[in-house]
Amino acid sequence: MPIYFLKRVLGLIPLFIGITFISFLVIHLAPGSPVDAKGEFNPKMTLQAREKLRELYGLDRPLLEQYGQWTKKIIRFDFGNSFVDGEKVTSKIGKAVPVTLSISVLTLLCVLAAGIGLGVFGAVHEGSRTDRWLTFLALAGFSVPTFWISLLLMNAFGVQLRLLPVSGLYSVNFDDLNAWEKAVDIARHLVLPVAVASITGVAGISRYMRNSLLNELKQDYVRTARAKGLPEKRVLYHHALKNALLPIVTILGLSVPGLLGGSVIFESIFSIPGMGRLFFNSVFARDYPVIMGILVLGAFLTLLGNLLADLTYSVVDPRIRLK
Amino acid sequence: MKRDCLLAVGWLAALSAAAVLAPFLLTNKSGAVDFSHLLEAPSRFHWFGTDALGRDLFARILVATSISLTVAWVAVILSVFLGVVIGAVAGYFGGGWDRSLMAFVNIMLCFPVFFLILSVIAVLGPNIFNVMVIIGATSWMGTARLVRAEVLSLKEREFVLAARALGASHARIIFRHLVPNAMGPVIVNAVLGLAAAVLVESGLSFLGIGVQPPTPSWGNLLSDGKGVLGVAWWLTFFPGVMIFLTILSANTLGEALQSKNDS
Amino acid sequence: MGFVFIVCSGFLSADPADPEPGDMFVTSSIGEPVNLIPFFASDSASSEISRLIFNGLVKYDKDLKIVGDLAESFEVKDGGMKIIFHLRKNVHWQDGAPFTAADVEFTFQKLRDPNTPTPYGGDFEKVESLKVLDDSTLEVNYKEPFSPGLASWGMGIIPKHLLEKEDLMKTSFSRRPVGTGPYLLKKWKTGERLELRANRDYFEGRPFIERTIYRIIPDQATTFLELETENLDSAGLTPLQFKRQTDTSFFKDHYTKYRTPSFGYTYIGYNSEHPLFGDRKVRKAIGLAINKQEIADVTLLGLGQVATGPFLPSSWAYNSDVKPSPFDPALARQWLSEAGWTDADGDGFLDKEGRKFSFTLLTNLGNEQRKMACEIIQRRLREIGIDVKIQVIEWGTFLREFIDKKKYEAVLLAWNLSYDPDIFDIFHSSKTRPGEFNFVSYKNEEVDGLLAEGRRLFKEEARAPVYRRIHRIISDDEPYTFLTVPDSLLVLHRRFRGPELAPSGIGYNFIKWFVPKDEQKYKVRLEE
Repeated sequence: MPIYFLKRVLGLIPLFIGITFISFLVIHLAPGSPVDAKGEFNPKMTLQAREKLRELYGLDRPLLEQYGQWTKKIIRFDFGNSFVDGEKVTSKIGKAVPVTLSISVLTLLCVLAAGIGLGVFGAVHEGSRTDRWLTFLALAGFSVPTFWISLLLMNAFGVQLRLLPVSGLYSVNFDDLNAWEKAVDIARHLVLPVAVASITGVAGISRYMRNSLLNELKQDYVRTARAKGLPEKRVLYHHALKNALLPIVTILGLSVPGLLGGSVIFESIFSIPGMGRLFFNSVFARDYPVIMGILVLGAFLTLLGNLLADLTYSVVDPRIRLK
Repeated sequence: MKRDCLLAVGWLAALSAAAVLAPFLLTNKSGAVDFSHLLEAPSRFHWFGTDALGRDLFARILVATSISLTVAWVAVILSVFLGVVIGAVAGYFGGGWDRSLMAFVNIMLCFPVFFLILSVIAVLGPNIFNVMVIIGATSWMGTARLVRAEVLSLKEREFVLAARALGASHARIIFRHLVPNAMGPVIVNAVLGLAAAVLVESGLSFLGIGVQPPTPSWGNLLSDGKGVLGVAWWLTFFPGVMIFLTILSANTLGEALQSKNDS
Repeated sequence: MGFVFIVCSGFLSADPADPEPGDMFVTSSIGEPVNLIPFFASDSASSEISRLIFNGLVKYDKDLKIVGDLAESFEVKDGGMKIIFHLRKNVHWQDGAPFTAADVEFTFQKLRDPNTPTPYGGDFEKVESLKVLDDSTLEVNYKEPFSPGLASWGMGIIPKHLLEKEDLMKTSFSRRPVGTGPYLLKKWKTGERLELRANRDYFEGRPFIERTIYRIIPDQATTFLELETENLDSAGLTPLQFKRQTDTSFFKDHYTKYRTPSFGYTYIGYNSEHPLFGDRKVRKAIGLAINKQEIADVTLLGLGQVATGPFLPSSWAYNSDVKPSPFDPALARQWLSEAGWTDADGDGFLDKEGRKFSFTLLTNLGNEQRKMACEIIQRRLREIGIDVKIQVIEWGTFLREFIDKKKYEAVLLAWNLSYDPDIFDIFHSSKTRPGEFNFVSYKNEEVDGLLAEGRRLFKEEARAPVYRRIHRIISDDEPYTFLTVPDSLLVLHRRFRGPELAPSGIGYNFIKWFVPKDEQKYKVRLEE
C-alpha cells in the first residue's frame, strides 16, 4: 500500500509540471502584456516607461528562463507579487478564497438539502404528479441563464419589494453595527447570491439521488427486508437511503475543487470579491503571477481530489491496486 | 414524461424550422435600423418591441435563433467528434496511448474552462467561428472518458474478437464495431451538451467576448438588454425565454434518453 | 469662453441650513483602483481617489485657471524658462510630519528616476533642474520654454520621510497612502470598497462630509439597481439612463441630475499606412457618408454634440469657424469614384482593380455607445457601397496586437483630453513609433511646426491662434473622422448641499458639501 501510494504521488509530479508549463505558455503567448493593461491608453505613458516595466517584470527574457525562475520560486512557496498593485499573490488569493468558499459551502448545503429531499420524494412517489412538477422545477432552475435570473431577483426583492440588499457582502455602515446587527447584515446580503447559485445546482443532485434510490429499492436486500415485514419507513431510511447516498458522497468529493472556482458572471452581478472575479480581472490585466497562482491552486486541488478518489477506491477494492 | 418529451421535441423542431426558414421569412427591411422607433414596447407592428437602434426584436430573435443554434450544433458536433476519437483510441489501444491521452484529459480538466476560452479568444479574436470552435474544443473530455470506458468493456467481447480474427483493420473495428455500440450515452451527452453550449454562448456574450455585433445571438441580445432593464423589459425577456425554453427542452430530452438507456 | 451649462432638475436654491459635519458620501467604481500613488494612478478610479488624498503644487480652479494648491503662489519667469513656487507653510502630512520643499524635490527625483515607470514622466523631461531655495521656496528651470509644464505640477506630491527607503513599485504605501489632502484612506477591502475619512487638519479646512466610500460594482446594471435603492449617492449615467430610466418620480424626489460637457471626443482613426486610407480623398468621402448628427442623436440621445476637430467646444483652443463636415452620400460617392472606387462588377460594393472596398472597424470592449456608433456607421457606409466589419476587442489585446503593431484598418475610439490643449503626442509626426500615440501615422509639416510652437508660447492669447490653425488643418486632412463630444452625465442624491456646476464639473468644491443635520442618512461618529 505505501508503495502504491508513493507511486501515485510521484506520478502526479510530471502531470503538475505539464499543467503549469502549459499554463505558462498559454498566458505568455496570449497577446497583450501587463504593461499595456497598466498604462490603459494613456497618452502620457511613454515608450521608455513601458520598456522599463517590461524589464522590471523580466518579460524581456526568454520564456523558458522565465518559467525556470518561476518554478524555482514556487518550490520555496513564493508565488511572487501581482504586477498590477504589487500585492503578494498569496495574500490576494487568501482574501478571495474565504469569500468564495463560504458562499460555495452554503450553496452546497442548500443544494444538498433540497436535492436530497427532492430526490427521495421523487423516488418514493415515482411518477406522481408532484414528482413530475418538482423534477420540472429543478430542471427549470438549471436551465435559466444565471445573470438573467439574478437581475430579475435583484430587481424584485431589492428594488421593488426592498426586502433584501441588491449586491455586495456588507452594508456601507457595517463597521458601526453591533455584533448581532452585523450577523443579520451579512445574512441578508447572502440570501440572493446563495439562492441563485443553489437554483442552478439542485437539478443535478436531485436526479442522482432519485435514480440512485430507485436503483437501491430494486435490490434484493430491500425486497428481503420488506418480505421480513419491516415497516416501509425503516426499509427506506435505514437500509436503502444509506446505500443510495454513497454515489452522492462521490459527487461531493469531485466537487471539492469547484468550491474554490467561483463564477465571474455571478460574482460580477452581485459585486462579490471572489475567486472568479479575481481570475477574470487578472486575465484581462495580464497579471501573470496571479493567474499562475490561481491555476496552480486549481490544479493542485483537482489532482488531490483525483488522488483521494483513487486511494479510496483502492482501499475499498484491492484489485485496482494490482493493475 | 412522454408529454414533456413531445413538447421538448416539438419546441426544438419548431426552432430548427424557424432557424432554417429565417432567411425566407425576413425581408431586407425587417431588423433594419429605424431611428424613429427607438425602444418601443411590443405592439401590433413590433411583436417583441424594438431595441436601442429601433430594430425589430422579433426579426433579430429569428436571426439569432439560427445563429445560436448553429453555434450550439457545431460546438456539440466538434466536441462529440473529439471525444469519440480520443476516447476510442485511448480505450482500444490502451498502454502508452491510454496513459498519455488520459493524462491529457486530466490536464484539460484541471484548467478552468473559462481560462481556456479566454486565452483562445485572446489569441484568435472573438468571432462566431472561434466561439463555436472554442466551446467544442473545451467540452469533449466527458465524452472521451465515457467512450473510453465503453470501449474498454466492449473490446474483449466476442464480436470484436471475431472481427479481429477475421483481419479487420483497427480503424474498422473502432468505427464499425466499437463506437456504434457506445453511442447511446454519447448521444445523451450530446443533447445535454447542446444545452450547455447555449448557456456558455450567453455567458461569453455577457462578458463581451461572444458573437460580434451586429450579428445577433440569443446571448448578446440578452446581455445588450440588461443595461436597459428598467425601460425596456422586452429586450431581456424574449431572449431570456428563448434560451430558457431551449435549454429546458434539451435537458428534458437528454434525461428521457438517459433513463431509456439505463433501463 | 462660451460655456453652456444646464441643470436638468432645477437649481438647488441657497440653503439656509448651516453646514454640519457628518454623514457619508457613497459612490461606485466599475473597476478596482490599481495604485493610489499619484504618478502611477492612471486608471480613472485611482486618479479620482488619489486626488482626494494628495495635493499637487497647483490645481485647476472651477473656471479651469491654474491656481496654487500646496504652493501659495508661483511666478513664471524668463519667458517660461523658470518657475518659482512659494509653498504654503504649516501644511502637515496626514501622519503629522510637516510638509516641506524637500518632499517636492523627492517627488521630482522619483518622477525622473529611470526605474520609476510612470506614465507621467514625459511632462518632466523638459525640466533642466529643480532647486530648493529654502524650506518653502523652489525654483524649476526648463531647458526650453514648455507651456504645459506649469500644469504638470498638479501632480500629487508624495512624502519623503515615508518613502525614502522604499521601492515604489513594491511598497505597501500604494495601498496605505499618506498625503496632505482633504481625505485619508481608512480602509481598503479589495474588490469591495474603499473608505475615506475627513482629514480634520486639512489646510483648507475640515471637509464636512465625514466619510467618502467607493464601492466597487463591476456591472453597470447592478450599479443602476443600487442607485434605485438609494444605496449609492452618486453615479455616472449612460445617455439612456439619464433620459429615460431616471425620468421617474422616484429619481426626481431623491436625486438631482447634472449634465456637463465632458473633456473627450469619439472618432474614427484611419491607419494611413494602410493602402485604403493613404488617400485623403477616401477618408474625407467616408466622413461625408457618415451622419454625425444621427450618431449623436441615437447613441447619445442628443446629450452631446458633433465634434469638428481635435479640440472641444469648451476649450479656448476650439476653432468655432470649423463646421462639421456635412452628411452628403452623393458627394462621397463622387469623391470615391474620383479616387478610383466604382462598382464595376455590379455587386453593390465599390471596387478598384478587382478589390472590394471592405475594412474592419475595431472598437474596445465595454462601451455600449461606441458599439452602437459602429453599427450605425456600418449601415451608412453600406449605403455607399463600402463593406464594414465590426470587431469589439478587449483592451490588452487591442493595444498590443492592433494599435502597437499598426495591424488595423480603422478604429472607433475616444480621447480624454487634459485641460491644456497640447496634443503634440497625438498628432506630431515624431510620435508614430510602435506604442506611441500617433498610431494613425499622421504626418503634416505645418502641423508639426505649429504643435512645437504651441508648446513654447505661454499666453492664452498667443497660443489660441496656433491651436485654432491646427484645428482647421487636422479637420481638413481628416486623419480622424471626428464624431461626437458626449456630455458627462451624473446623478447626485438631493440631501447634499453645496454642489454647483462650473466649467470643471461639480466636484471642485467637494470639501464644502454638507448635509443638514436632520437629513443626514448615516449616523457616523466624528473623528477627533
